[in-house]
Amino acid sequence: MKITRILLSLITVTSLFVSCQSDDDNSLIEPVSEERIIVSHEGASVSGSTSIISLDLKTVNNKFYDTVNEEELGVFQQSIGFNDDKAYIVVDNQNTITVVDKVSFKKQASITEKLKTPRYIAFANGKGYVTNWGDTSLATDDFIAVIDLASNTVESTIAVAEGPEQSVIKGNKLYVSHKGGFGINNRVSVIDLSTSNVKEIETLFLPDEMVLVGDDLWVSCEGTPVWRPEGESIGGLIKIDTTTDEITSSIEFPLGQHTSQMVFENGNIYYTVSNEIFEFAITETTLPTTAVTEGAINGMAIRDGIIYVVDAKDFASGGTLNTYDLNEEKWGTPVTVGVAPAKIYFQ
Amino acid sequence: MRKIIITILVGVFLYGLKSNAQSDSIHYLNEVRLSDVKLRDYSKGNLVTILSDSILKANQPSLTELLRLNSTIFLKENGIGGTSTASFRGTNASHTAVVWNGLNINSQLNGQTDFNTISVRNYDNIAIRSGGGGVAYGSGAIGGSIHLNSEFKFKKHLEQRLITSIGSFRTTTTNYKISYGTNKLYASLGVDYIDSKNNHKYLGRRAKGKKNENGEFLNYNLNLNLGYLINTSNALKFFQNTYIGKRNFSGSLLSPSDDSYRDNNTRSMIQWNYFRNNFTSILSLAYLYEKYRFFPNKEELDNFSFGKSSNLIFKYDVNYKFSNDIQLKSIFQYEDVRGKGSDINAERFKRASVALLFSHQINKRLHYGLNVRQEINDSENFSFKEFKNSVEETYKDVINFNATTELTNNNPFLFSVDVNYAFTNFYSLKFNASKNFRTPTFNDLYWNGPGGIGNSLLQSEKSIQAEISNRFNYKGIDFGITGYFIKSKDLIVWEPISSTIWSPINVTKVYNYGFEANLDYIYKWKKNAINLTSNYSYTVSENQETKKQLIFVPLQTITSNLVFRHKKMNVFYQFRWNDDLFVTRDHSQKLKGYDVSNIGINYDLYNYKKTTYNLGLLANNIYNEIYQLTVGRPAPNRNYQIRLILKF
Repeated sequence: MKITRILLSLITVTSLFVSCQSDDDNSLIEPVSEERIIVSHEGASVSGSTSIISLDLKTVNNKFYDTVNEEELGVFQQSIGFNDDKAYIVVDNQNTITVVDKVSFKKQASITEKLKTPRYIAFANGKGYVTNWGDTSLATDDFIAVIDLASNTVESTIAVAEGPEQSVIKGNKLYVSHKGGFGINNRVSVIDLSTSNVKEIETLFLPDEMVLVGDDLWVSCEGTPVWRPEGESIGGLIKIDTTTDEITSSIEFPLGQHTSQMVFENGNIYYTVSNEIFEFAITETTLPTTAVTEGAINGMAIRDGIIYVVDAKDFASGGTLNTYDLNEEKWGTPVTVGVAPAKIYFQ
Repeated sequence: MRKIIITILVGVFLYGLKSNAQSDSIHYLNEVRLSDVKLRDYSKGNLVTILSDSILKANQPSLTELLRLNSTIFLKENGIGGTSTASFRGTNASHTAVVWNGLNINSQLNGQTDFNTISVRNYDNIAIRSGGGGVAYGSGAIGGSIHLNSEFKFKKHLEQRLITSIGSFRTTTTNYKISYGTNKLYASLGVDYIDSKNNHKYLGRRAKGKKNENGEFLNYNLNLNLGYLINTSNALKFFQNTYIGKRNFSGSLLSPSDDSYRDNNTRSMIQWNYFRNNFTSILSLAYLYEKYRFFPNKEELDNFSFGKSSNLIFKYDVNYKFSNDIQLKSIFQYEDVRGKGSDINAERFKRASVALLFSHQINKRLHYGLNVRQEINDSENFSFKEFKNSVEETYKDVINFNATTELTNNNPFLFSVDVNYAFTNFYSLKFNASKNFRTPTFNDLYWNGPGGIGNSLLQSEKSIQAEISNRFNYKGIDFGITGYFIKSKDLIVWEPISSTIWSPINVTKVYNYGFEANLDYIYKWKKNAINLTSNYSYTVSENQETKKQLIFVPLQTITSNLVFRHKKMNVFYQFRWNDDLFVTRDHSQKLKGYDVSNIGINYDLYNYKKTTYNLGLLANNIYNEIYQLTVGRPAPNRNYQIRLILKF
């Protein structure tokens, strides 16, 4: 009865297949000591991750945290904050901040209590200030968690308006852009860190990225996208004088143009609309009409006249990191990073 | 160690038998009566595997689990009890049609069926039909189709059956079925209930002893069939199925969850059957309704998103037998589909189709079939078009909505040909080739919510395929090897068109090819019987742009079921192995392949005339295999179940 032999061999072959599985070999590479790029990936259907890349993009270590610590941090790895010799990895769905050594990324502690959809962290006076959306379906429970960096615990919270996103410290004040979480919002909160008093400045809708230039805080407002039930609204670049906390200028985009990324270097703001990067001298009063360059952009940073850009592709494959040299006006050669790269930091 | 057990278990049984082979084995699958003529008479060139009532009651109540262990279809299950979709021959989730008593019931919202919403015990049999079936079953029958069948018995009987089980993770299942008939009447009612806390352990070092959280589910399923034989040439039939589900979607290692999902589906159909001499006609009126509500926080039940659709179907089947060997069937179908949701514009469309099926048995050895179908679509989406125009105006530099679209092409013409040739008594060859399609869904066309905009100009996905199957049938052994090729184009893919907006376009081209081997072996002697069914598949599913295997399509799969019966007892062993699964499209990440084994014993405590009391003890994942259902969702650890089946 030949059939039994066929079957038997089929099942035996299975056993061989099964026992020959090899693990992914992510060889551990020692962290470099010179200046390097850190890319934070949000993740999607796979875990968020961190890549470490040399400035010339020649050496790429993907899944760096995972390799060092043999664990994944989950989704969505929203941002990383750096303070002294530590890095703080913020993962929003997991409601955690993982404290690691800035160089080796070896895990030191994790903050898991009293955070709810944490987004970004800023540092001042030995404390970390973390924006939290709270329950994403509630507009009224959003807060800033104040973290005691010595004990890595949340020592208090400050209630704020819906959807606190990025934050910037200026003097003893924390500026928070309220993009609105799953809703929409149009304000920047100014929090006095001594008294925890909150003052709100009304902006255009969906304020997100902020850069501090001297006493001026530039805020990019995306404007409400067309698919929102509230209807489309215009976006723009807003300047807030941090000495008075008043808006001193507001430059609006035409309806239908929604900015996303914004960085600053040498007197110029570089911002994106759709897939284009524009250069805007902050002394100007009107927006440029022609783009510097274009490319798919999910995250952007700038250093020494070179724009670094991550492209998340289809969010189901590895994304890429590439550079655009503003002087030579040319793109570099992209390198593959993890799934859904979103933030670029220099270290 | 366990590999040895598996090998020995299967090997010893079979080798021990080889000198005793007798020819009296009865292929019990043949006993199943099929009332779907399209499956019985017009699918002779296709592979149709029928899972009879005895298999359905022996397996777990979800269709996911049934197919996972009895076919090589890959089920992508988002946690036990969570949403579950099928990949048949490596095709995507909307390319397996689920057919309820002859009607395609894939969701109008997403084109898929959630296999965890189908309770298998309420049906009399379930058929797995491999390969394209667009002509007979409509949109989505590309990889294959799953048929949920209720059979009507017009003869005097009263039967009742109760299955109840209790198991690990606080899981209880109950199924009660009563069937009554006379030579004029038929009535059957099935009630199914599954309740599970589903708090299984996460195995593996990286899971750090965590448990599955927020995975509770509670499903009800009600099935009612009524039939009345008016006279010798007229019959009325009524079919009704209702599913009510209340599920929390479990968290995963990637992300915790406190959400909840409630969905219900109802399907009702009334049929007038007329049969006289060689002429049969079936007039059907059906109403399919689906609704879901998703609660991002299960504590806040006034905050949810929803979607619903209804489909009113008028269908007229006419079958004429020119002789015993030649028959022709025509199917006219008209559908009026409405849908709306918190993120979908309220829309309505109508579509119709006409199909002709021809079946000819030339002689004892050779049979062929020729089938064609024309689709006619008409969408009424004026409000949406205005909206769309404004979007297009705004984003005209970014999106080229029209790039891939020729509206006139949206009414596909489908065909299939099939041949069945019996060379000898024990060897036959099946061949079929077909063109199939999948229509865009409400979500694809009319989505208007977070992050995306539907594209009302999408056209149908199209697919051409062919397969050859060699069947060997000898002394209780049924063995087959099938090779196939499927070429699909214009597949709908949601792509980011800006950093915040995704939209679907007809873009991807995929080739699927591979082969399958199936074995069904039955051997009986004295009061013993042994039955082995095994399936092996080798599946290549390749995106033609990247030349890479699609994600969540294992290259190889094996499933095996071995049952040994001795007098009042039967012992079974179930086995599934599948290969590695790529989870990112660039193959940078994958889940390791795994094999899972279940074992069980059933014993007839009492058996007199029609009455049987059967007690079963079952153990699943007996080797505590560590594997993930999808990324970050470790599968349950070893678990147990006690089951009682009463028939009276």
